[in-house]
Amino acid sequence: MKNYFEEIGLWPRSHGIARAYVVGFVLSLLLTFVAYGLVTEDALPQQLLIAAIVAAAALQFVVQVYCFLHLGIDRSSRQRLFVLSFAALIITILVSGSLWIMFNLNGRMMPDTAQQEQYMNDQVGF
Amino acid sequence: MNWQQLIFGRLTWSVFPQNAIAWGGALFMILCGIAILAFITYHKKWKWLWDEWFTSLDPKKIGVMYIAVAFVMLVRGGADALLLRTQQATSVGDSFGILSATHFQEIFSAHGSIMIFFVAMGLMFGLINLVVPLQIGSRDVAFPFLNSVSFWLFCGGALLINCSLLLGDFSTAGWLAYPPLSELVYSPTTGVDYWIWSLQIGGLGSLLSGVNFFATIVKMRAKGMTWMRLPMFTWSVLGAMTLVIFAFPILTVTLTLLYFDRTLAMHFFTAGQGGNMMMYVNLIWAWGHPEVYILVLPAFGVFSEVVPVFCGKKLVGYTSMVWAIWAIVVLSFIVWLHHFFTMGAGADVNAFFGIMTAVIAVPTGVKIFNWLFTMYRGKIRFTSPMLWFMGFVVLFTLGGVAGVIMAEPPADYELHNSLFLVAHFHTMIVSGVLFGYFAGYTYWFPKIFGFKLDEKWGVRAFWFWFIGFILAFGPLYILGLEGATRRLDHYSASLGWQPLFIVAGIGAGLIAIGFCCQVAQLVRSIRLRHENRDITGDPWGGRTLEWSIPSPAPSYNFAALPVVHALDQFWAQKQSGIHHEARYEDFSMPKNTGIGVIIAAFVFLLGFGAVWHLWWLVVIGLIGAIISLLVRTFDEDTEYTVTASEIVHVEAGLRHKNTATI
Amino acid sequence: MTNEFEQGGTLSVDERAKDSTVVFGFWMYLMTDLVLFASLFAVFAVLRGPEFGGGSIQDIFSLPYVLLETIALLTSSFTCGLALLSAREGSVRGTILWLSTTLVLGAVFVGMEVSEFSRLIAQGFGPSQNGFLSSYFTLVGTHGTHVAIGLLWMLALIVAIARKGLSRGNMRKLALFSLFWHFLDIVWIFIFTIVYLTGGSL
Repeated sequence: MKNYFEEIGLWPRSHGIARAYVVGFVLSLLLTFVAYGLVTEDALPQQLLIAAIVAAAALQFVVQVYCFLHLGIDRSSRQRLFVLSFAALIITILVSGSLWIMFNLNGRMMPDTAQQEQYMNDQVGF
Repeated sequence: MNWQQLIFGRLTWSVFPQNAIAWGGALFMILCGIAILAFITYHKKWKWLWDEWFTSLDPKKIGVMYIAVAFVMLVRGGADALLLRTQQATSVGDSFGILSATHFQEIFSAHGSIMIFFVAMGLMFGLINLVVPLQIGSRDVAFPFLNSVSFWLFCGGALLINCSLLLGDFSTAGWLAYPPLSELVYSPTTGVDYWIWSLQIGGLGSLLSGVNFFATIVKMRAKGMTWMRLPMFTWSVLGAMTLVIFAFPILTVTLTLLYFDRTLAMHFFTAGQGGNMMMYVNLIWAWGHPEVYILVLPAFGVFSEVVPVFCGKKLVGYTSMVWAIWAIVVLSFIVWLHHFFTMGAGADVNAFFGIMTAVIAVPTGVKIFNWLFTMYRGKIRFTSPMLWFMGFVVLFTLGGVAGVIMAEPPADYELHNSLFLVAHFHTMIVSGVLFGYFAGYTYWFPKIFGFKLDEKWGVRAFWFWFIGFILAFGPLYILGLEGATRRLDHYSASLGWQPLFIVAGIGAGLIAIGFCCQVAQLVRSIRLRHENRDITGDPWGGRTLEWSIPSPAPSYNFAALPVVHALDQFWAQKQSGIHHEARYEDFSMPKNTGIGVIIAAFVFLLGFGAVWHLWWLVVIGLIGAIISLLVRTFDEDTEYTVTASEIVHVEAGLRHKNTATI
Repeated sequence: MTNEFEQGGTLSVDERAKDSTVVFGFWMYLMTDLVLFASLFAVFAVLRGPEFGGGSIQDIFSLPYVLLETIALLTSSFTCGLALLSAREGSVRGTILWLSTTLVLGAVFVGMEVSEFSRLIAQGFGPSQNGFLSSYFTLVGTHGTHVAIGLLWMLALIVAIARKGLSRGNMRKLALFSLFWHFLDIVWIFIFTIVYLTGGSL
């Protein structure tokens, strides 16, 4: 079964697969430690920190999709990559849409007692 | 927890029906069931049923069984509808009708759940199973065993929801069971749990079918069938299956979270402790909107097949029809908030989704125009499939316009949850989904069974459905505009609504007669099957590959796999008269297996146990299903080979049977 | 479906078509799993607001502990790749060795997670406390359940390969398993980031 994984389209080529796994592993470890380090060392202001670790996650996602799942635009994996991209689109719409909707709705709810007190205390000259 | 609760869970002697009508429903179901079992036993057909049908992995057989179960569930859902209409026509002023408020709520919840999940989905998957492999020139689906599992899970869900007629009650929270009403505090009985688990089990079957048919269409098309040579029905199925794959997991999650709230005291959607019930509404409709497009796209596909054939003309605008399908698929994921404009989101959110909702009407409009253009200057034959289409065009367009009205949030604030909404969505589903699948049922029946359905009874059925629908739902548009809300079990006499409700009740009765005409049609057709035999395999003058093989279609579909050179390959072949010499090769077909039935049986037990808190049964169901699956995966001997010489022999026999040949 | 192995190779045309269809179908199932996790993430993001009696995230989780879990799972994804490389070389012993390593690392991950869950519940931060904890336990627990199923799958695979060697059927099962296992580590990237690293903020 020498070229089985290539023949069924799981691997796009025979050479370089071992290297892909090693590179993917090292890069993923690196990105994990970078994100972890940024959080534990409190290295960046809040907003920037979130952006950085989300970017690190997105990058690690790409690394693992390419290096571990061997998805690319070559013939054998093109269809699966297309389907994954479509899934990513739908998921982005669903999650961001849901968050937009829910935070919009929540923001228009009657405030709880703690928020009401805070609001009243914030009034100048009250 | 004492030992009694451990063994019997929530089961007690008081789970049986509590009033006459409920007992009536339960007894009718039991008697019908006994009658069917007795009939089969008397004719000694159990072995035949098991060997030829239940264990079959032939998608044509599975498709027939789906449609049979869907028609049975249509009886249940239709009976519910008649009860609801009777209640609303009689429960005015001092009279409170025939149903208690609670019972009324259970019935409308069951009606909606059954019609969507077991009638519409059943008819859809039935037709898909029958037609798609044939249309793409394949002998089977990508995963035949998974197909069987999907069907039997569908049956398991249907069985579970029918159990609620006899044991316990059903949900009173509508077909979507919004919290907090569906939470344990306000629905402490088994009703909502029945709803959760019958949908969960049926939904799992649907999800697996989505994967199956998506893979089938992508990977198993005949040689030369490039994307733009795909038949329209198959394109619509690909779109619908895409929606299934990306929408159904949301349902799975939402149902599970509700069950966790109810059973494990979690706080996803509870009124306190950080729960957010609006999130439920958001999630359930993020699934729910794609769901309605899942149902209607294949129905559009049926019309795209039927209209060209019965107008003797090529479909106008094939490319735009394909793009319209994909526009609908993508857009259906960005409109879902229009189901809850009134839940209180800001104007920006409502406006965005309102605009998107108006936009999604456009590709559907493209389709309607293309069908009409196809009819223009065609040689129209007013067969019953064509009549179903014409009824659809009139009603669906009007109902669709009602939808666009409600797409505007300010208008929706008036019309949300009124009978105007109810009339709108019934118009979409009955004239779109049901009429489409009825047309498909009539159109493809001869291919599967070898004889046509009786046309006279088919026409009668259409007119009763069509007129009945107008009478049943026309008044509801008016009532909705006058302020009548949905799910109304009593209203005051001074409103003057009763005459309209009575008309609606008569309409429902006419629809029931229409269904009886369909039963009569089937019975008569079976009696006259020799007179109405389809000898050529092409009874309508079809255009696509399924019409190029004998009727009834042999189990292996194609003796020699076709090679495709054009869109509407069969039509092109008939026009040119060129017959390519068939190349026969050995091929393998899947063996029958009962493991699909067994897995679904264990999953049913799991569901039943989950509803009644019989945890030992849940464990048995889970372990049984897993072990059965493992047995199957370690089975090496799942196929048998058909040699080329066998096929030549069989084909010669078939040709001999159909004497008036090509 | 052409790659450089179109002509020749160990599989017949039919076998190749069948097995690549199975890979594609399994991939589509993984897409549904992706949407499942996305829904759970959406629920988590919405319910992580003001806690009712639960603490903020940093109070109840130990980040170094989670880092260890992450490294275990990531390494197991790597050793899974090594298992496939051994299988390609036709080495039954190598495949079983690396699969077993993957299994052990996966078991470490699950064990650590179960232990974390038990600790949280014992301290009163169970899933029935509030919406945030319900969604935390369900999201992370669903992932953990998938990993546990993967462990059982690996066991069955090891047994199958030990008995029947690297047959076509076993190679196919190995291919599907690798997709599943890599997919689970990919989902964990997002759990690690969004659930644990973002803390009580967002």
